[in-house]
Amino acid sequence: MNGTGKAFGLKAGEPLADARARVPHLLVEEAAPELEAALLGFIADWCDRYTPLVALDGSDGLLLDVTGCAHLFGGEKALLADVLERLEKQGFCVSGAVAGTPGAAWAVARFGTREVIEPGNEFAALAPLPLAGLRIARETVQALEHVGLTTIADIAGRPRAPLASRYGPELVKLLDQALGQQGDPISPRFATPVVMAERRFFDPIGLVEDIKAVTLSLGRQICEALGRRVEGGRAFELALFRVDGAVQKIVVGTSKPLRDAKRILALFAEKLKADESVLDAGFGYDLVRLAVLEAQADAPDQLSLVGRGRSEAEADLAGLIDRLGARLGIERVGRLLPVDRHLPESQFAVVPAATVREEALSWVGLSGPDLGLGFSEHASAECDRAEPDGAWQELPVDRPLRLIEPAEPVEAVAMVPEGPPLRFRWRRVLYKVVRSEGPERIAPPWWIGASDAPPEHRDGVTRDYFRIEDEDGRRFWLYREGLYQRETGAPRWYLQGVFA
Amino acid sequence: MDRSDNGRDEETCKPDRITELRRRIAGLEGRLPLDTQLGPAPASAASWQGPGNSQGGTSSFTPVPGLEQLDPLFRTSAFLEGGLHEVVTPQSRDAGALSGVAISVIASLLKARDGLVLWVMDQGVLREAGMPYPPGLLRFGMDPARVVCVTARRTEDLLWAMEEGAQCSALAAVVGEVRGASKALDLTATRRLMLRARIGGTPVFLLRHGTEFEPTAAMTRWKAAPHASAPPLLSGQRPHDGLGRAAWTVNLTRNRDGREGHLIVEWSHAARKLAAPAYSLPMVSGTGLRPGPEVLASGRTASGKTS
Repeated sequence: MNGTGKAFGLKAGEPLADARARVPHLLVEEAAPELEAALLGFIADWCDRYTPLVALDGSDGLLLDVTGCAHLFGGEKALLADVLERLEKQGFCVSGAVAGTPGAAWAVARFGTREVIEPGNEFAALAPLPLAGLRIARETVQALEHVGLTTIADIAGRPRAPLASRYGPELVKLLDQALGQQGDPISPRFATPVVMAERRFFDPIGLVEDIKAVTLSLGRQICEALGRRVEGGRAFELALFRVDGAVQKIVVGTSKPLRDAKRILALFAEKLKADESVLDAGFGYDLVRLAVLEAQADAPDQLSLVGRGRSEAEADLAGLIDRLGARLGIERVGRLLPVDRHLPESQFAVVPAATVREEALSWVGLSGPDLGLGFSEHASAECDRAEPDGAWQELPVDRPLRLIEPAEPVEAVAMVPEGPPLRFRWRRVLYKVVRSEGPERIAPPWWIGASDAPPEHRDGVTRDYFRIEDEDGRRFWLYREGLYQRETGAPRWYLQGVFA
Repeated sequence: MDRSDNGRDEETCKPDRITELRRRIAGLEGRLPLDTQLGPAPASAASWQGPGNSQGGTSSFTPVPGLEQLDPLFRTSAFLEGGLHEVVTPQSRDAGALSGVAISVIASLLKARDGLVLWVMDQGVLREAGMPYPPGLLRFGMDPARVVCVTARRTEDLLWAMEEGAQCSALAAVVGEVRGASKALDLTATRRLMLRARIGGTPVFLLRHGTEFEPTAAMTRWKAAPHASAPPLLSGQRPHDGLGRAAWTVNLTRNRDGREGHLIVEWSHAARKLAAPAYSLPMVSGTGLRPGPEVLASGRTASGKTS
């Protein structure tokens, strides 16, 4: 309800029919809480230009912690005037206040006049305001009004104990918080950036080249700040505040702590190249901010005369992974992590390369005997000695080179229920099995595979794997799901892998 | 200038111009070392010269352990130098043979080179042929920890990622897998990849599922097909006696650095190397004998199909 409605004597909570009867030309819109919340989110984004600490306050308010920011806008009074004026220009109906405590600011913004409460004057400012200004429940307000207490001044002077015992401890706590006698932290929407740098423009900018130039110079500033902290950034955010109030944010992550303005710019440039639609300049941006969301200790490398090539290659690799991640998405650049599980498809995981630690990726030595990887003398000696045809049988190639996930169902015909397939149809082509090896029985872990589990529960069913070769020499990995007559009446077949 | 003048002009400078043009084409295709691309040269320079021959004309050959079987086809150590190699298979369902040929080469290469492998795949390959399976790679002697795998949404992204990888000094090899023909992956794209690989000194492998005749600027193109893992069954054998070594029919249909050829190879699991099939004679003659460059050059003009 806006001011005009109030002037006609309408009240929130009134039946619509009554209101229409009194004001026939009343305009009514249905409430859309999700849209309102989204709009409030946009306004909060916009308010990021004043302070990084913006908190949502209920469904209709915003709390800005302007500690240490006000002087940038010419003092608290000028700041408040600037916020309200700009929002009003955008067509919002706003009221606001600045105070030393969130509670006092809340009350004055809603029930008082637009003003700045100096620290220490909270009581004087709050005293004439109605009790609802204390952020207390409606029932408590009504209960207090019943006994004739209507303003904050009425209860502020009274003994605390009877108030608390009658109306609950919440009332006293909120009163103390409003008066600054008790702490009242606000919870901002986003974590405060570690380091940030921003630039405002009198004349909005919109060209990609301009934005890049600004990003580079902001990058230099934050790199200097990071250098003082002996840290490097792991996640950077470029926030572009458009003249019309929209805020666009681009986030890039890195695999190693980064403190190089040019490389930061290159990551953002990749991101922009990958998707031009990220940037919609419209009428231009009047504020550009570069923030480090996450930082990590990064001591400068000790330069060494011998090991120089290696560290350069490492940096080269980290740079490559960052560039790929920035353009394609960090989750699309992965490393293969071993997972100690029993079922073949869960024995590995693809984890983002930017987050993985090199030590976690130790595959060698996991699968039973050491397979003689790399260049150890032992391995090469064995290669020379080993009679190829003899040793090969001791270490069978029992796992496929490619895994089809999820396994694809095939129609198979077997001679005996427990035996290998004779023929099967995969992707509408019939294959005749010429050679086969198996079964290799892979049962689910005992704590999952109760024999009375329903057969649809895939984890709970034993699999018999066969390695087969067709007439043309294609080698596949098939399994039969379920033990015949013990777990299932009609076993199904799946193709899970392709051998070399 | 009238026509006859024009014609006479062409007549006089014909041999020089043709030589010059040939040299320029050779330079564009990256067949000549960069420093001799545009300088004056005798007419014989238009004949084939291998890459990496910048010191005179002596061909240097460093065998890659494990790939001795392929040596007779090459006159230089093609896999150790930067270059684009293609492995193709006409049918998607032969992904196993394709991966087998490629991974046996890459696994051998990884023992000779330091660094990681960048493995880029498009969505089609992931859907039709699945992921490379780390335990399977491990059994091929390739450490899955050395793989950085990237899935690309579009072919353009895949090519970009491969080019970025080819320029990175920390990589031992770059592998790109695509399924089917793509407009973005044309002759120009392969030429770009080839140049990047040449400049970066990184071997780049392009695995193409379900295509065979797409134009390419690659150094080599291998057509992989499955092959029975053991000799045909004798009368006394039962059909379910087990499989032999992984074997493939490999058709080297393009080779800028040696000659074409057709051979059947097996992966010897114990020795971690490509080997001739145990039960048949090698299809390429001259295994173990390294012919001189002039023999190779003449063999190449005679289409190189010796069987």
